[in-house]
Amino acid sequence: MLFNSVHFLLFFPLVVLLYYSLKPNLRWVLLLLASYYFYASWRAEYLILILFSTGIDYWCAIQMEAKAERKDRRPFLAISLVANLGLLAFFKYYTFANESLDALLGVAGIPYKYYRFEDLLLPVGISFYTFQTLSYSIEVYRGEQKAERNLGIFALYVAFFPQLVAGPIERFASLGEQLKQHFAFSWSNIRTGLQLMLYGFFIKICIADNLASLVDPFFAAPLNHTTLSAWIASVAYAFQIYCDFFGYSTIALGLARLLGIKIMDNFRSPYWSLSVTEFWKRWHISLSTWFRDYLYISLGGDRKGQGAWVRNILLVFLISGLWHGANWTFVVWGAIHALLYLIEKPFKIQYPNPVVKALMWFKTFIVVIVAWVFFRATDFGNAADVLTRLFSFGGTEQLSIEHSSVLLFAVFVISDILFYHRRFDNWIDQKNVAIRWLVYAVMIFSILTLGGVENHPFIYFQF
Amino acid sequence: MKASYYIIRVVLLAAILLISQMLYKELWWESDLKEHADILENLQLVQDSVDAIYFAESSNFTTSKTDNDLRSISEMLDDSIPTLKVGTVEKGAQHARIYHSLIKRIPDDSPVKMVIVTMNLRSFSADWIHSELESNLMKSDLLLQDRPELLNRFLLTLNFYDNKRGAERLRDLHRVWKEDKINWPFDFPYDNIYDWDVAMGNGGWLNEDGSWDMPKIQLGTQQIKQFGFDIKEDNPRIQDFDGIVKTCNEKSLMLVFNILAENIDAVDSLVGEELVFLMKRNRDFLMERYQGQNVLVVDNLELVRDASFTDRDFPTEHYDQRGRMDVAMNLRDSISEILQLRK
Repeated sequence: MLFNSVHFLLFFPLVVLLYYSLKPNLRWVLLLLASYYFYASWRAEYLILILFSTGIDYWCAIQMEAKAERKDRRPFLAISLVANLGLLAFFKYYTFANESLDALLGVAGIPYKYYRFEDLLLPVGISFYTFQTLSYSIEVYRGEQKAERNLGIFALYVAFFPQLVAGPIERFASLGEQLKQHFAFSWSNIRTGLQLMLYGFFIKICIADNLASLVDPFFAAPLNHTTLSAWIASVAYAFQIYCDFFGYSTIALGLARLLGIKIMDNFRSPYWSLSVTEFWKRWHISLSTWFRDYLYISLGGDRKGQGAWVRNILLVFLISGLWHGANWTFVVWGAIHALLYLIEKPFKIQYPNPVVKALMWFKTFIVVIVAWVFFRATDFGNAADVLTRLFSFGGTEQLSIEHSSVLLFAVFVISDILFYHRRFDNWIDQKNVAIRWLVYAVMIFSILTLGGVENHPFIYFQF
Repeated sequence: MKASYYIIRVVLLAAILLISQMLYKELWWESDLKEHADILENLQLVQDSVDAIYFAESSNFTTSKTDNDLRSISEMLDDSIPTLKVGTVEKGAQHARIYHSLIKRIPDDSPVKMVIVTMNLRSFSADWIHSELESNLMKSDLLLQDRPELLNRFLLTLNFYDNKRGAERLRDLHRVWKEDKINWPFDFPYDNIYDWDVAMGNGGWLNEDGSWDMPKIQLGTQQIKQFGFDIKEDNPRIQDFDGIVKTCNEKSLMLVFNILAENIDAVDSLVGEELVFLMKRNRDFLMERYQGQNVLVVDNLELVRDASFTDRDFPTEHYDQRGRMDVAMNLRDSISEILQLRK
């Protein structure tokens, strides 16, 4: 079930209504059933994977808690890691790994055969919920989190529908504990929830989906287009993926808030960053903090010398790239960010001068855009064509840009600057009633009439 | 909080929706229609000035390079019955679902008294039903629904139509080709399109030197895919035509179904009499079903000869001027007879 579907627009009010109608101690049952229904409406048989992850991690955590020594907990952590990462590896990387091996051995003239699964579809959200449940296992292993005894609450933590398929990746200490609480009905939560959902739908439907109509034709035939079109499409893609994912996350935030639950912000105006380091503090925050806390620190962080630090940074970014998709282009995307990060990090640059600030922003923005080319490209050939057109003149086709799309895009850019230090709900709550309703009216009108019309599921669903 | 606090907000929301509807209808509806459902404009052009409307796909307007007479079938029909002014609503690759939505939108005070709808045998095939073109057609169909324009536009944004992706449609198509059984009254080795197609594709047509005759293989296997099935009650196209009958009865419109001519000669020579048998049986099924519902069903299936079909590499209903004239005159005869009887 997609957030931007009629099915969902009927589903969520019903869940909210039932949620507040039920006795507080029964609400988790409703949310769990609703979450499983939400997931099963996409492909019911893959529900078994969530149940499997839930069961394994629930059991492993209880076993780990019963052991006083870390070394005794380790086998259960290993079971959790192997089970979750095994699922991820099979569904996401099986074909990719075999194709890569086939190509590699092919160069050496060694024949390689493997079984091809024709109907192997990547289960929606598998990368997100496996990382979420892994964070729980690792924290119980480290002794930083108590094992949850209520299987229902734990199952709901793994499958909580607002953030099940594309995050934010929540920690048990935050989400799990809230799921146990009994929230009283509050108009303030309803208002904030609806404000966030409205803004989320606005940027997904009106910005991301309209930008897609510029991006798709260009990436389908980059060399046919002019250099100006190439830059327009590349900038458009940067904002498409941002608005798509930020839109989803904001809807998720609003949806959870309707139920009284606060989940973390996943974005903070990342495109106004002055360095790649800052970009990663503002982009997909729940994933970058996950990698920091569970991979980078586990590898030793920067405590074991410069060589180890460089290795750790590279590993984190390369694995992060691969986490996004089973293709070498994603690895290159991660590598570009890693290199920039490594180059920037030793220099503690201060930015007192506005001109220097502008230059640093421009440099970061361009690097991020060029890196996105590898993220969006279907393969290296496609990426090479896009880069060729970005940096050399040629091609005759111009992208056709609608005035309404330009206007909406400008509105978004201004709002993104406005919300650099705060969220939409905080900003709008400080406005008087007339301005508030004017903003609501413009957003509702835009969503109803100016949304993109092609079929664009949320980009991050495929990860 | 006071009840008035909420009442004011509900009223404000209602006002936003109302103003949005007015603004949208005034400023953007026409351009959205042009972009996604321009066939409605076609209907609006003729609905107030004709006695009959001919709904058709490309069979109506496609011509041959050698034609001197470039009139469409509907224009020929219009010229041949002076007492009946026939208008045309046409667009390539349309089918009965779209015609049905359009017929529902003919205003009650329109002078239109008769509706003629092309009945294309291929449109009942899995190949068409699960075609990639279907997503765009269903998008048009959504905008054609008789709902507030704003709601239709929002539903379009939410992709509230059958918008499966190409790979999903292809999977559905292959499944139907394998699972949809053909009921033969005689012995025949293949009871589904998949097996039949594979068998004929693997050497069904050979050149004199024993090599594969690729053009024949391609056309022959396409014929099997387009016509090798039984039309059953649950075929989506049957539901569409049933809907058209119901709507025309409600609107007191005289209804004519025009079964299009297919290249029976080519099918017979390339694939064989078994496929011709299926085509005729499907034709008979349609005639029997709809004649029994007070519809004039005009049968052109075997009317046009091979030489009049303009496409040689894919089965289509594209005719040269002679073929179009044959269909138009057959229609004229049937309609005239009915009009005479009604006088």
